[in-house]
Amino acid sequence: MVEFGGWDMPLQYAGVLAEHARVRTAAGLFDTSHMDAFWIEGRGSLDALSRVLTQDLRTLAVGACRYGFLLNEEAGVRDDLIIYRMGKHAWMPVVNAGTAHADFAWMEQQLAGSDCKISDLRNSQCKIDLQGPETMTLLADALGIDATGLRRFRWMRASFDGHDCIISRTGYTGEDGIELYAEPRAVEAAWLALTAAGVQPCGLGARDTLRLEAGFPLYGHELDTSTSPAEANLMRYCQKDEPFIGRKALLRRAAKPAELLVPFRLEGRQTARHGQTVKRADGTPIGRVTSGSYGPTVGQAIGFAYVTPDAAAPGTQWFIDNGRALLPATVATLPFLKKEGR
Amino acid sequence: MTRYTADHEWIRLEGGIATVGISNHAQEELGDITYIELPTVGQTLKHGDTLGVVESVKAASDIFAPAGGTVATVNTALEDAPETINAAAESDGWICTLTGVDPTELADLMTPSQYAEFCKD
Repeated sequence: MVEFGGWDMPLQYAGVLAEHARVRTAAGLFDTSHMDAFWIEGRGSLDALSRVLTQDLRTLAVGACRYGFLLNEEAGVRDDLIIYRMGKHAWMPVVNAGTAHADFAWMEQQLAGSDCKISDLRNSQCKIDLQGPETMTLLADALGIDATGLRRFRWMRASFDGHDCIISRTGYTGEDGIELYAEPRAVEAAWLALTAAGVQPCGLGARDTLRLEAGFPLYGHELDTSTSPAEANLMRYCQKDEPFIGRKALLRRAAKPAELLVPFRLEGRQTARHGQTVKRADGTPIGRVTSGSYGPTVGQAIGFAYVTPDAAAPGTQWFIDNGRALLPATVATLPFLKKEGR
Repeated sequence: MTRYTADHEWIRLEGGIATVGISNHAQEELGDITYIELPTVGQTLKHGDTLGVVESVKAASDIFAPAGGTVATVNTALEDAPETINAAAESDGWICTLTGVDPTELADLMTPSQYAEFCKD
């Protein structure tokens, strides 16, 4: 067990590599109830939320969800989140655990005076993620839910054993999968039914290696209030022609980024870790590692680093100082994991 | 006789050759091992010198020499299969052998039963 975002979380159940492999080849189940969700409802919600988030909410249909950011005035990332459009005037942003309290306070403050209300679903709703190529079969077998018609970044209402839930075709592993939202007792029942059907429970360790191979950022590593989507190469989630908090600063930073987030590969199995320094061959520091791990499916050590823009082109070679040696690394392209047929 | 250090290495002295590895308890704590940096054959180590590095999906840890000596052989099979340490830390997962080990240096180390007790804390 480890502390994560204020919660005691399992790092592993059967071992990180075993869990990782099960998600890539069959299916794995993650208890992601540490994450928080808010409910925002009211006639003024669309306009008010559009000022707070980078997502284009006007083109987001009821039944869909979209990834984006909560920025501060300097375009620093307060959080990255997926927002679900639950109705014409109803929304559900799903946020990280460590930032949840600050997110709620910030959004409450920003939405004040608008015709909408925000509430925290912390005590009434939990979430589990079922991920892997066998997701749809297992969902049907264990819970009797047919979600095969659900497209990526769409959600639906469903029920099992008398429990209501929301299912979205989303996830954080790079595999097909769903996230299931329901009241705590229903989520517990779903967890028990799925694990009884043979789904592997997975901890934070595999969640991290899976998301890294898939090329997804992790808040607190690739993203924080000192970085913006401009440096993180995530401007595609900020495209809309209306003002939002941080937009001016974001466009300024995008025109002349001081550093850029890049994926990298090391030569062998030895990994670089968060906080280590990126250097040129002559020892000049040019950046910092934000995440690094052995990529179990990729078969080599991979990671993310912020480097100066002149060192960010794919194929650029530099070194990572791990305190003992300079590890040769090459700027890669995403995704790390290239699957046939995708 | 196998002896253990407080840093969770083991050493076994047989016929003047000492075999060294990390303990089963250590591999359990580390989780899946993904990389090992082995010492160099011929390298002379003092007790407590860094002998290598083991990395798991969780963390990187230094391996310290349980006694002074000269590296005679290294288990190169671990370079491509570091998971052998998870499977058999105290047998096939050995890291290196040392010659010239002073047996009196092992007197300060823990016996298997003392080490088992130590790991309970």
